[in-house]
Amino acid sequence: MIDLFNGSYSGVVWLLVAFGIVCCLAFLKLNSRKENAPDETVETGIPASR
Amino acid sequence: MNGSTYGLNPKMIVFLLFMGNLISGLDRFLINYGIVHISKDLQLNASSTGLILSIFFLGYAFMQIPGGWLADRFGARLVLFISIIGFSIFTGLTGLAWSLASLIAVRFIFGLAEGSFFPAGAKLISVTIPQEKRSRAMSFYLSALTVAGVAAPLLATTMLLQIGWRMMFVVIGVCGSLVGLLYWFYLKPKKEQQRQESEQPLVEQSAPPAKGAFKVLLKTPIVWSLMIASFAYGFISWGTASWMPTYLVNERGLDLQVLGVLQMIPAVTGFAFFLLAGYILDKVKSGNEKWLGAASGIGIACMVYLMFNAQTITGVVIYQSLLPMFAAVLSVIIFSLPIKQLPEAVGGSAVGMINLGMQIRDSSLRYLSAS
Repeated sequence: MIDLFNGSYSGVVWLLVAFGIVCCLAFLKLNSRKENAPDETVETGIPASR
Repeated sequence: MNGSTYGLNPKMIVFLLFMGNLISGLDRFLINYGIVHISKDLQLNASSTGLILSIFFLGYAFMQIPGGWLADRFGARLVLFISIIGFSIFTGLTGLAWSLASLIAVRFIFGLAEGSFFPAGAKLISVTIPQEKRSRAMSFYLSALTVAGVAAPLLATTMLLQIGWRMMFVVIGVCGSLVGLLYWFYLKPKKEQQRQESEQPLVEQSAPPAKGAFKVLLKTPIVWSLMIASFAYGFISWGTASWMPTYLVNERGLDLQVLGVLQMIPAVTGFAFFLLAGYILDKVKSGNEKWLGAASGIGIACMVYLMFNAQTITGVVIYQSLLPMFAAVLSVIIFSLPIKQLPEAVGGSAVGMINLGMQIRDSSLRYLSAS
């Protein structure tokens, strides 16, 4: 894997840092609670948890 | 709904899940230490041992979504029981392998059996633990893997010397089967209690997800966001665990003994941080978890950067000790948010999908490593 960055550890570090930012963005994309969870509908029959 | 539906208190349920996940982790990690002896006995080359170590992940990833769905459809108790008995049997059979082909088949089926355990455990939490305590339950459930990570090398070195690799797998398989029996008997809903609590639907009799529920789940943004977060977090976790030791020895000239001590730090602090993360997340106002998750994503990125660029070994130790804190918060949010915010009927499927994100990370890394 490190060979993909020509043996450079800093390349690997930046890749990991980038994934940390991806993780952060994934959480920021979450909506508020109600918009995250599907409500109970006749079509799906999924009961809302509360 | 609460743990009393099973005739048990929630603490006992969480303890059982912890034990199950501990056994599951040990079964998974022990082969990493036994592989040298296995290769010698079965006369395997390097590529064959690589295949043996990785074939588990294929079966494991394959069963994430079906395992979660089965738990939603047939109840967590049945799936957990079949899973733990299944993976314990195949752990035991690992010790009876006579050829490369037999070992590959056994490890693949072992992965299939273990794949449904985690989502089914999450499903059990979602239907038995009160919502305001689910992060704590999930954190304890997840922390078992940290304990397994510390216990595996200690157990492996002792058992490999005392009884050999074949008996090591048989013994662990028997222990797992005993834990499986505990699941079956302790999680059995009491008939008397069922009558008394007839106003509430019982866990095992609760309505399975209706037709089309899975499609709705696929369209639910939280599942995709957490799946991406799970993939990214898994990548960082794998990266720091695998590249850091090489970096510290080769580039920073660290002594191997000091490295051994350093490697214990995340394992020891990780357990405490998991429990703390669960407690904090149960106290955070619903809807605000995303800010904590986002901050932890940035936090873990900063720790990785600082760790690799620290001027002194003390600096490396400090940043490496703080990294598990962000890692624990991230993993507890990733797996507790779906069982707190999504309907109970799809809790298993949702966690299966999200955990698949982490398994895709593993497959992609193995592909990149191979290339």
